[in-house]
Amino acid sequence: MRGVFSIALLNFKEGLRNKFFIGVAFFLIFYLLFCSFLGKLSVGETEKVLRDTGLVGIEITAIFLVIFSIIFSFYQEKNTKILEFYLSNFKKTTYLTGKLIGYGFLSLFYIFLAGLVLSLILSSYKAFNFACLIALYPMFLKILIVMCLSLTFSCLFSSPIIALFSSFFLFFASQVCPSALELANKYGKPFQKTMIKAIYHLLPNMDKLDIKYLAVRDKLPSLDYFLFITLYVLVYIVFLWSINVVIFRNKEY
Amino acid sequence: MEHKCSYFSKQRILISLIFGLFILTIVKYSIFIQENFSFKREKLFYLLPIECFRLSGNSLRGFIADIFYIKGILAISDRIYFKKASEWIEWVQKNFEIAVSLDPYLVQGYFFAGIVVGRNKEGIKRGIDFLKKGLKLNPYEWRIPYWIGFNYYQLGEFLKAAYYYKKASILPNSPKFLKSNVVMFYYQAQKPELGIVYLEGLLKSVRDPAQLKWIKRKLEWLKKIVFLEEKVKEFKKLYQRFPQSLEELVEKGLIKEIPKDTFGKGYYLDQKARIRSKF
Repeated sequence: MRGVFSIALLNFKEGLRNKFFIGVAFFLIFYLLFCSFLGKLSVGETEKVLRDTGLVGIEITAIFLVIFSIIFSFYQEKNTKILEFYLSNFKKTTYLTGKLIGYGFLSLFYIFLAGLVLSLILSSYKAFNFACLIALYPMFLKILIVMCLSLTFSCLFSSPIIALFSSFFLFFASQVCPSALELANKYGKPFQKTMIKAIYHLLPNMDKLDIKYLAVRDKLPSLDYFLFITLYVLVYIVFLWSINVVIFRNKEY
Repeated sequence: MEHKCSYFSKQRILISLIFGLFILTIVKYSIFIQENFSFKREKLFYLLPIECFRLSGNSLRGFIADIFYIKGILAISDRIYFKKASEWIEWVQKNFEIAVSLDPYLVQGYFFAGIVVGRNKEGIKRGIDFLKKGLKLNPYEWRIPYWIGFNYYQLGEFLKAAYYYKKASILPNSPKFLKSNVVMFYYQAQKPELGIVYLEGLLKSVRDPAQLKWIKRKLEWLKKIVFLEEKVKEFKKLYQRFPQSLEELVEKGLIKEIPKDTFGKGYYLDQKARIRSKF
């Protein structure tokens, strides 16, 4: 357990010092300032637009941050033989778990910072609402799944570019799958419906981890929702972690 | 001294001059090209079908709706690019249609596409069509039927205006005044008897004392109008003509006195021999 936390701490520190983190954080600040301009343009719905664009900005930047940083950190460790050093001192499962926890905390830290900046901007426009901060929690869960997916692809492929593209494509697939399911239900044949339904349930249900739409209107789902999505994400993460472990154990580094 | 000389060596000065010359030439050429070859760009007024945007997934739906909401607001100022007002209305409404389809709770979108574009009879009618579609998307928003009612009022269709105001008044969060204001449209439509029926029904369902006071006051006002209109009809039966004023009804003994107007500033007989109230 101590090993897991040492690796997690090392990864957290490394991620924090990484150019991606600083770059994305700066981009987010500029984006949020740009949002205030968008808010001015949207007469009558300023508060809603400010909240919406702010939350979307945090989500997109956090996803980019986590995919890029985890993939490049993994391959960098592999190329500079740091991975070899880790594996000579720790078990493979310890290394993987530590990495996931480290980057999990990094995402949490980023979301916390971004939430703080967003709250300041919203407060300055008198558009702050507590629901927007609550909406960051399902967003964090979503990012945890994306992080696990990226690590799985990193373990699976020898090229960082393929891992990067696979992570992004799978993320987009899980984003648009609900719409595909809707279309299939309307116009599809029974076989297509079943197939898309199976894919939808197999892929992470990103649509269920999204309450931005409600939060911007100052509404929140029940407490049960938060409980069930937390359980769902935990199960999904353990599932992905198991796949990671299987792939990682069978590979030579 | 030697060190200082190395900074300002001939070679460095020459390189700096060459670079400076390059920068000047680039800027000059850029200005020249801009002045001589600036092609007029035509704005493309085309939008993809709504279904394409619906495919964007839940997570970005609200954001895309916001973008089209802003586009819609900017489109209002695009009037100069269109020869016909109808084309411009279509363009504005299309932007807002995408916005409200993706986020039906963007209420101000209905306002811009339903009220702001209505600058003539045709625009108002198209505004009504847009708002009616919006009512299907967001059936619990009182402002949408209220705006439809307002548009009908502008068209002079008072009974339809009354219908939509009535609809708006029963929706959640609607202001209290809406309930009793409906009778004004029945009055405008010259159907005060419908207003009485409506107000009597309302009287039974409302408990707020302030509202009850207003309803009773308007009910009394409408009843007096109906009473006077009956007397005018009676006058016509007796004298085969309409009275010239309400005073004539008193003179001929059909009424003792002109009733006190509880809502307006006094009743009078208009040119079509209908009872009106001064406001």
